Amino acid sequence: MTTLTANPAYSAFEVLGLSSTSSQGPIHELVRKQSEHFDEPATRQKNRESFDAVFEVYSTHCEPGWDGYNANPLSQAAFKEAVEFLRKLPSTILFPEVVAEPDGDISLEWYMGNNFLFAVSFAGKGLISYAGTFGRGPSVHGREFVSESIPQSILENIRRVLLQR
Amino acid sequence: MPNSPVSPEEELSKYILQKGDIRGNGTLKYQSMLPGPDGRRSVFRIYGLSEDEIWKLALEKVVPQRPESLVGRADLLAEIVYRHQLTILPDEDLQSRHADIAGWPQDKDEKMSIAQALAEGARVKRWTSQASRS
Repeated sequence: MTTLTANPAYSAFEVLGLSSTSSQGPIHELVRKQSEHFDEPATRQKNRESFDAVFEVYSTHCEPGWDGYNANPLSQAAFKEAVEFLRKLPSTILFPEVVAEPDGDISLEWYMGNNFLFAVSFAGKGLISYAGTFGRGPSVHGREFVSESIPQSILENIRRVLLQR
Repeated sequence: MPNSPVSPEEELSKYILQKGDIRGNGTLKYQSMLPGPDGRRSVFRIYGLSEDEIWKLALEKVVPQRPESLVGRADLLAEIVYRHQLTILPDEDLQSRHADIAGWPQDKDEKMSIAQALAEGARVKRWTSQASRS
C-alpha cells in the first residue's frame, strides 16, 4: 500500500510509480518544481492547491474506460498544462473545478449557474481550447497557444462569467 | 419499436455512470456529453418506453455486471442534436435501441461548445433503487 506523506510532491512520485531520483518525464519535472515552490511561503499555498486539485482528478482517471464507456486515460502532458495554467491564474480569480474529459484531456470549469459557464481544456499539445455560455448572449469558443501568461481573451471570459456571482 | 431514422421529436438518454457528471444542483456537466476517443457519444432511444423500462434498459444493456455504477440519466430531444449539425446513427439492430451521436467537428473548442449546448438542453434524472418503480 502506498504511504502518503505530508508532502504531496512526494506522494505524487509514489502514486505515479516514479523514482524520486529519475530525471526524466514531464511529471517528474513538475513534481520537482512543486517541491521547490513549497519552500516559498508566498506561493506555496496556491501552488499546492493547484497541484493537488489536478492531481486528484488525474490519479482517479488514469485508467482506460474510467467513465464506464471508452474514455482515454488522462494524459500526463495535459496534467502538466493544467497545473501550469492554474499557477499563472491571478489570485483574485475564483479557483475552477477540475474535470476529466473522455478524450483524455483535462478541463478547468467556472460554473455560475445553468447558461453561465466557461471552461478551458488541455490536451498537452500546447493549445488551450475554450468554450463558454453567458446567459442569453452568444456563446464563445476558440483556441489559444499555451504561453508564459494566460491569454487575455481567456481571462476576459473567465471574468465575464464570474460577474454572475 | 423506433424507426431506423431518428426523428427530431424522439428523446434520447445518455446513461450516467459517474457521480461527478451531475452537479450539486442537478444539472449535467458538459464533459459528460463530449464524444469519446471513437468520435461518438453513446445514447439510447427511449421512444415509447415507460420510466421503468428506460431504467431496465440501462440495467440490461449498459451496466449488467455492475448495476451499482448507474448514477442517473440525461434525457434530451434529438432535435437539439440535429440543431448542431450532428448525426444520430442507430444500431442496425433496432431492438437494441442503441445509437451514437456522431459527426462531431474536428476542433476541440467546437466540440466543447456543442457539448455545453447539449448538456444545457438535457434533463437529468437520478437513479435510485426505487427509480424504476416510480
